[in-house]
Amino acid sequence: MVQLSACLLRKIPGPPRIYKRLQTFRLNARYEGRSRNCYVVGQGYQLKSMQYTRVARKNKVLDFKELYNLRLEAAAEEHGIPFRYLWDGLRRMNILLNRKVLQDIAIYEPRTFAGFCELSKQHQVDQGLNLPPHSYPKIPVNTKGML
Amino acid sequence: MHDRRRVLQWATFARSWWIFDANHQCPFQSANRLCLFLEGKHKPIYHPLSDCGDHVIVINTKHIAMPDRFWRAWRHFHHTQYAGGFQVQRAWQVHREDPTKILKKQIYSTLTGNLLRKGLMARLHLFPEEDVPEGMLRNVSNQIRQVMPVPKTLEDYPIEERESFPRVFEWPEEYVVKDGKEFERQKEYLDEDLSLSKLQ
Amino acid sequence: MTNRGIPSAFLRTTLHNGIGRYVCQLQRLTIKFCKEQKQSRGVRDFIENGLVDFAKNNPSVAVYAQVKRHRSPALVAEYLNGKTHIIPVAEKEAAELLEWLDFLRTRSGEDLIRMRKSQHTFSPSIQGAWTPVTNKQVFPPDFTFPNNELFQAHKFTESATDILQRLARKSTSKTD
Repeated sequence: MVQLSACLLRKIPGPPRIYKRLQTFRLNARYEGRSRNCYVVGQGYQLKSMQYTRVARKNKVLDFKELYNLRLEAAAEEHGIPFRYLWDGLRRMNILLNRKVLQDIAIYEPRTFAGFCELSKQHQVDQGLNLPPHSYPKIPVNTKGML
Repeated sequence: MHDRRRVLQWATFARSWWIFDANHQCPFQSANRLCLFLEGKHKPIYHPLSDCGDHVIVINTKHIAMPDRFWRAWRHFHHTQYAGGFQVQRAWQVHREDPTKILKKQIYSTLTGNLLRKGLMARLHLFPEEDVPEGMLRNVSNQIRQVMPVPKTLEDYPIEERESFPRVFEWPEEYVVKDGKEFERQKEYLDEDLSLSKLQ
Repeated sequence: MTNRGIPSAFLRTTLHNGIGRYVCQLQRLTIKFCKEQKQSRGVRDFIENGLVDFAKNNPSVAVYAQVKRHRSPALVAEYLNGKTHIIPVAEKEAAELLEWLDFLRTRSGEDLIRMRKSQHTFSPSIQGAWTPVTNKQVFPPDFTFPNNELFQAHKFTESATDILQRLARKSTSKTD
């Protein structure tokens, strides 16, 4: 602690208290009753809402992952290949697209997604891996060993 | 939204009709598959809040195949909300009264229990036999794959194929093949069961 | 604390600005300052040295210097879309002011609010979005439903009968 002169010994006032309170009021603006008008009541609500958002941040990711899985299973099943085989094939071919991008492609660029499915099937056949009997490529793709 | 883009969205969310043959199909496995189509989980655009499910017509519900001992073991509970109003029915009893009820109940319980369920059930059309109204059949644009192979009886195979089927050994000419007594004995048990049910 | 309560928007540009000729969206700049107070010192310094150069370099912007006695200094930018952006510049140096001016000059004038997504497009699909008929199996015109031969269950494993038949076929071929 540095005290070079007596005048620095005095208590230095911080920022006005109202700024801390205004933040709480701003965050609780949508609530009903005293929780948005009284600071003391609103404090608890603010704390609880922040706890909820912390949990929700994680749950949101899991929910989206579940939804993407459902969509991709449906999309892959249309081309006669279970999604886990498609996913495995893409990893092996070093096509490192995540679930979000893959499902975007399945919805908005369906012909590209069909290409992914056929490539994945062919690659697994080339590697000598077992596919389900109905999942073999309809027209053989000549990969020339490049994948 | 631009007019052209609005119409494209109609195409994406268009509802289609499917048909499913329940002949010799397990109702539990069938329900799992049919629910995918009713909820729209067979589409890459699926979202639980967007109503993107399809219509499903199910035929031959009278000829479903329950696994193992389920014709006797599967129970349907009902309560009239009055004192002593509790009822229990076995699968074969329910099936005799209404041949579509087992599949309907199974699909209802497999669907997610929310406010959409009633609407989804309205898109399910069950028929005990193959007599689907012609107007409904005209909507159908695709068929749902069956969940299990339909068994063939010996009579379904042509005689040539039966003759050429590989045999481990040949019966001697003087050997008498077992008669149908065992089958008749089983049939007696079944008849007893049926007569008991009539008394109830 | 709801995200719903905070105003939000999608990313956008002003009338495809920059596709043809670029139009500077900043139309009017008012520098408010005080002649006496200490907190306007940097602004006064900038007006003496850098303001004329700035006005010469940006002829499309009308620049005003307005004296507000005993008030804190501010930059008031008015844009082509009618919106106003005020930046308080108390206790700021002249060099820092130049950076703020650059920021105001290159802005589109849209409100600075929470972005719902970091990207936005009016043409999400080039190949056409997925529809129920995109990947649908094509049937001949005389095809009637139900057709049980085409939609039998997939056979994933061999049954005991299949295995026996396969073994029998193998043994007969060996004897031949």
